Amino acid sequence: MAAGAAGEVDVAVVEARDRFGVTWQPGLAAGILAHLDRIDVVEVIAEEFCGASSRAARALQTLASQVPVLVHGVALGPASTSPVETKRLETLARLVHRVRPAFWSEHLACVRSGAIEIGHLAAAPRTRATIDATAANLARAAEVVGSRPLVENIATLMEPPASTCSEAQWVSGVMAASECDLLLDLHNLHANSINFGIDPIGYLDTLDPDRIGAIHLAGGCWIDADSEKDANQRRYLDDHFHDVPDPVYSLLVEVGARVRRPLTVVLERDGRFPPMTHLLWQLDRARAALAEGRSRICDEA
Amino acid sequence: MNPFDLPGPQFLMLYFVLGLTVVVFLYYAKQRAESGEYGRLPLSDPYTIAYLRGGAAEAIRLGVAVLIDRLLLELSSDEKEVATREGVNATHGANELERAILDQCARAQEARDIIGSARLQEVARRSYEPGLLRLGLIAGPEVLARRWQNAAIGIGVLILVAAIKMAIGIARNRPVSFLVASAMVFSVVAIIVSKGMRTVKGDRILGDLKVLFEGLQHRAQELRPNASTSELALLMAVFGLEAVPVLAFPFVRAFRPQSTSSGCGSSSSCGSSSSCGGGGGCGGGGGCGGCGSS
Repeated sequence: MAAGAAGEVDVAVVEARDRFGVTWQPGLAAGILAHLDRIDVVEVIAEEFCGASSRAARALQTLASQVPVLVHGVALGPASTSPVETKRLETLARLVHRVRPAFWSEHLACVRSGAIEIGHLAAAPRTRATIDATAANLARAAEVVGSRPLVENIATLMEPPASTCSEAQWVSGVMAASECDLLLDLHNLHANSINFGIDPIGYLDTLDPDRIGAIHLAGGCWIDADSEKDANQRRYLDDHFHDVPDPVYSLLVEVGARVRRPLTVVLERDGRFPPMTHLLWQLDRARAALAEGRSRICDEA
Repeated sequence: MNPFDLPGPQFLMLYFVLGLTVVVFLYYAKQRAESGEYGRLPLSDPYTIAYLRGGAAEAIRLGVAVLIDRLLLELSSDEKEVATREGVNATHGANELERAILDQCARAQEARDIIGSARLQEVARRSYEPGLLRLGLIAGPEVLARRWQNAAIGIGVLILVAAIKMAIGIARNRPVSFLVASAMVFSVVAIIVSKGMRTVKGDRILGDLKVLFEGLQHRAQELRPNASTSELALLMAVFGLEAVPVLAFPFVRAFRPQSTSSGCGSSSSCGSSSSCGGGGGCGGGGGCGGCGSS
């Protein structure tokens, strides 16, 4: 009984420290700033401010003085056997020092080969070699920037060739080798589970729940195959242009039931913006889902 | 060598340098004294932002527009008078200024008279000025006193130097009109540098808000009446009524500052640089776009 009571108190404290936010979009600026009573954090895309004018950088600093800001990178590409460019890291470091985010994060993706930009976040072959190389890149990034990033699982439309382990094993391997915590993108997990038949619950069970520090939620859509022949090759795309689908909230409940540390949950929306009230409603759903998961911890306790 | 013995053109050059030095000194003295760390700003309160941008008149203009959008006030069909709707009273207002506007409009008022109403201006001042003064975003008596003290010193030096040389010039029967003009121009510039309702910090905050809200101007076309008043209010607060699409919100026409042919534009909010148009900035957000596997 005493343990149960203690468990309840802990969960209440953790729940109180969970934070919910959205990705910063200039088009949503008014909506975001008008609802800071319901938005705890704002996530900005690092590359949108890395080369920005000093005016824009100062505006970001002002934003950061009003609401906790998270810096989210999309262009480092640490999941590669090539070292991350020092210049990029230094630019990112300047931004991080200027904004002083609660944390910064980057995708576990490969974004370039030599000087050629791939143009999207590509999954690296899941091998021991890429785990070690990614960990080395992340260690260097942490050294230059001054803090370890949270690393995010990505969605992919094709299984990376020459892989020797599952995505969950690979992500866990990188987390273990790099000591970086995970920014778990539940929609990416959902998309991969649809496209490749991954069991998302099994995926969650593979991860160390104590190492999950933040959550991304987003939406996507189905894209058709190019030809009749490939009709069964329909893919589900993580496009950030649609509402968060129900299964993603269900996954958030599962996360809430496993993770005992405070989480930062960010709703990503990059276009086709609905009214702000609708985005806030999705944030409320996320709050409710995480709370439902947390209540399971209470029940177990 | 006595600089007052310099021939006219050389002395004018020297005076030009002196004038620039005074202006630069005043500018940097202001920057140094009035910038600094921002405290927690009321970014989500459009009335405070409107007051910061254009004073009491802008806060009232915003209040009237918001109340019309919330269907608490109505504009007559000829767009000249505004009145509280039937069944609505002052208690429906969300803050003191809104309540005062509703109360004032219990009897129909000329739309333009409301903005200039001394009573409403006093309510707006009472509601928003103390907070902005506390945050150091608008110039209080101390700041103004320091500014004018510096300006007086600078202008005093300029006039003293000009007066000595003028006396010498007149005694030597030399023309002094360029020197008089220079003294006047630099004195006026010194006054312009020293005046202004906002502090340097206030100007920066407003500039930052304009950068942060750049994208909202595109989204302004998507705003619909009675549907997103809080966003509409922030849009108006940061950029002024000029940024509000007239097609969707025709009532804003009645409250826009009258543009005069004699300069400043806004009768009540000079220097507010409403929608500056500046900042090419980063353009359309979008981040990684495309394949979107982030």
